[in-house]
Amino acid sequence: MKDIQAQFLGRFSETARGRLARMRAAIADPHGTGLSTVIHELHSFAGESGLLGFSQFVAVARDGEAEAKRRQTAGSADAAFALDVIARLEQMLDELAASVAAK
Amino acid sequence: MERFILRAEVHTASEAFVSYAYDLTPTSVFVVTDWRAPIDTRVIVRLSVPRALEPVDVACRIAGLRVAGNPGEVAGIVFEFDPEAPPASVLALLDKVRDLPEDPAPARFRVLLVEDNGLTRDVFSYSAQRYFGAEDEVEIDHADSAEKAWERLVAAHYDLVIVDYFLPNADGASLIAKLRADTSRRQPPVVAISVGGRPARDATMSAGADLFVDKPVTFRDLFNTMRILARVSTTDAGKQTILVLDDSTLALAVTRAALEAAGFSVVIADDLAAFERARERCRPDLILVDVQMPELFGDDLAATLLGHQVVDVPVVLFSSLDEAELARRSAAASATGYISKAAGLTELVRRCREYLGHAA
Repeated sequence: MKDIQAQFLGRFSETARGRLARMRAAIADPHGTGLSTVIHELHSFAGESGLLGFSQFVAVARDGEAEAKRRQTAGSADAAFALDVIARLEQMLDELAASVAAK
Repeated sequence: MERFILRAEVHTASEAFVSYAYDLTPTSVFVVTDWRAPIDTRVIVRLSVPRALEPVDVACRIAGLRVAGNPGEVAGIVFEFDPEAPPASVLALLDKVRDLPEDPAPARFRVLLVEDNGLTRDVFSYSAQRYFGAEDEVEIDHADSAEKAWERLVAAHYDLVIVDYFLPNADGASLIAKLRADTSRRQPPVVAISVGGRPARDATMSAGADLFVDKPVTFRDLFNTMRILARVSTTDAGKQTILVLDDSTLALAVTRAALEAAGFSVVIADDLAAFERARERCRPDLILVDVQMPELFGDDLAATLLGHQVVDVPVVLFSSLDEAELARRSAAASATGYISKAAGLTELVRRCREYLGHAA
């Protein structure tokens, strides 16, 4: 399935960065749905990463999703912790882009 | 047989050009063109229904010319097929078109019309509604510029894209070229339309359009062609059909690419309404449902589909949830099983084959 991975690499990166941007916006919006957005976007991110074989993203996204769900269940609205998750995923996307460019 | 539009590639001794054709019969075809040559000139014509039915090459001779005498008429050449080499391939093509089954009806056929003229868009939609009636076969989205069209193309898959050449800011040819350059997505057939004649035709066909039709467009001919494309797209004889519901358009595109490469016919839906229409129309052999979606949980849907015997095919949860959670939800919903997205595409294909009863 390496050819499918290569075929969708660009779209995966574009989609992933879009998800991270939406999370940032939701976290910054005091009237927004920070945790719900984080849960949805990280869940989708994990699914798309897993399908394409980018397993390095799956664990980070899943852990972030699980923490967001835990906080939501506990009645918290604090989604700021996800900024670290976003930063980590952005760094990983940059590393992925660099490794592809190096080939 | 209803009149439909074909792609025609004409090869002479010294040149080749691409245009479109009508009125295909077992003995002749009319190709729209301003190319001229003497009667009885021999050529090879390649005829196809773009991205749907395989091309056929036919030896022909020029039998006559048509001129555009009245508004709406187009000029071109009547080619007669070589009687010494009976065109079995043409007969086979006509048979395929004629024999496309009405039932099962296709999943909803999505069309994007890129046209900045509001009256043309309105007339198209009105005419389509009258042609396709209340069957709801076709869903038409509009864009009045190349920029807006690109936003729509990025967000969703279309089964057909119709592009006017003259658009504000960027012409239709540049949009078509951009679409063709993006190999990460499934490529739909593209029909270019224009009053611009041969220059517009050459520009759009060079950019990657499958068909070019001169304006004014005879909508019935175009709709007949759309109906063929819609029926072919879900009539891959012998292939088992997998219906996938997921709110992620990327996950849908990747899943479809992998399963189609594995030989399955795949229908995708990104919301419940589209899923319901597709389920009724394409009669899938296997259903994959994402679990966490904005509208509903996929395990609730699976429980309903199977518990109320709405379907009698495997319904499998397809998610990035960890396996323990997936297994728990699958059991609780009495789903047929589950597939983890984290396991990747090879595992996806293997598990689908298992659920469909293929030998290991």
